[in-house]
Amino acid sequence: MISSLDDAWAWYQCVRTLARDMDRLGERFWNRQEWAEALGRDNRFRSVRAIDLQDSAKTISDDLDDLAVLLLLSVLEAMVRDQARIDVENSLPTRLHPAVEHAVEVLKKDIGVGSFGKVTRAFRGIDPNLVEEVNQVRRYRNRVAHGRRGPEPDSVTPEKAYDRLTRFLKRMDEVAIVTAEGSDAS
Amino acid sequence: MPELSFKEWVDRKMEEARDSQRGRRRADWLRAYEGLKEKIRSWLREEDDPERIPIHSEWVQRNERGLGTYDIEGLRIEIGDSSVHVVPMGRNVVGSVTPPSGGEFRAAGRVDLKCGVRKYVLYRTIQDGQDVWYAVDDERYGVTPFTKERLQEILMDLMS
Repeated sequence: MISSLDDAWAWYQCVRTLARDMDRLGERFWNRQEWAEALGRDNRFRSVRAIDLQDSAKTISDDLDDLAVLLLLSVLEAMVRDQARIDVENSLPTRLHPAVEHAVEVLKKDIGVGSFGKVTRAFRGIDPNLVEEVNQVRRYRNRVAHGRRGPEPDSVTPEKAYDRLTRFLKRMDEVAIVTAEGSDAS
Repeated sequence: MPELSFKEWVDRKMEEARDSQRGRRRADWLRAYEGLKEKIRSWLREEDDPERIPIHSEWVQRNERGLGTYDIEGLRIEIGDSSVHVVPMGRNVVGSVTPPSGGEFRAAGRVDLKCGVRKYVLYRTIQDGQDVWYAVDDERYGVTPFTKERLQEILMDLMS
């Protein structure tokens, strides 16, 4: 199950490798005479042609990079929302005025399902450049998720997205550690 | 009677477009890409008979923030029964390039060299006002300057 950026990156690399291997298998080996007998005996493979393998591999590869960016950002989003919610809960006193309690509930709802751009904006004070880098990935993800309509945002490769999102998560962790140490000291 | 003829009016609109920030940015990108395309064509012509390595046009449309909508010519390089597509992806690119020789340069354009399911990514950087292109291997992410020899290696790798 994919639950971290590393998992998402590993998934992307596995799918890409498999697609490329299948393409190569189709291009170079599938039609070999010495393979014909073994493939012909297999219920699944006897009806698969080399061109079918290559077409499937191409179909996967055509959209794979964009889907990987979408996946990476979605994983980061889930992690950041979870962490932000926990940080808010941990930073509050146990007893709250009802008005504050209501405001906190609204805030938690915003963190949970509101615009992710608003959530990352909260980190601007810590590292504005890094937040903007994540926002560029977010804008690219949004276009992919909404059917690639309208002007193209800055082009993002999965590699660049993985690098940026990993650095953001690391920075978030550093801030969380410093905050926790500060609370312990006081 | 209109003050301008249709042709004069078209000329004026073209001039306005060139002078706008969007027009300048687009013209800069198209000029840079044209330079790359010309290099690729001439490197291949230097090495072999153009009839043995035919190069075909493949136009694509792009719609980028700050550049607007434009048509741009991609290429299809044919060798034997294989082909590599030169696909201009866009001027606006996220990230930077860190060449092995050192330094870090903001990417200012991306062109993909694609063959079936494999590709190399070419990134344009601007160094001292000059366009410098780098090739990035899509599997190992190695960065190398994009030279004639590198183009040949890439074509051989993608088509082998």
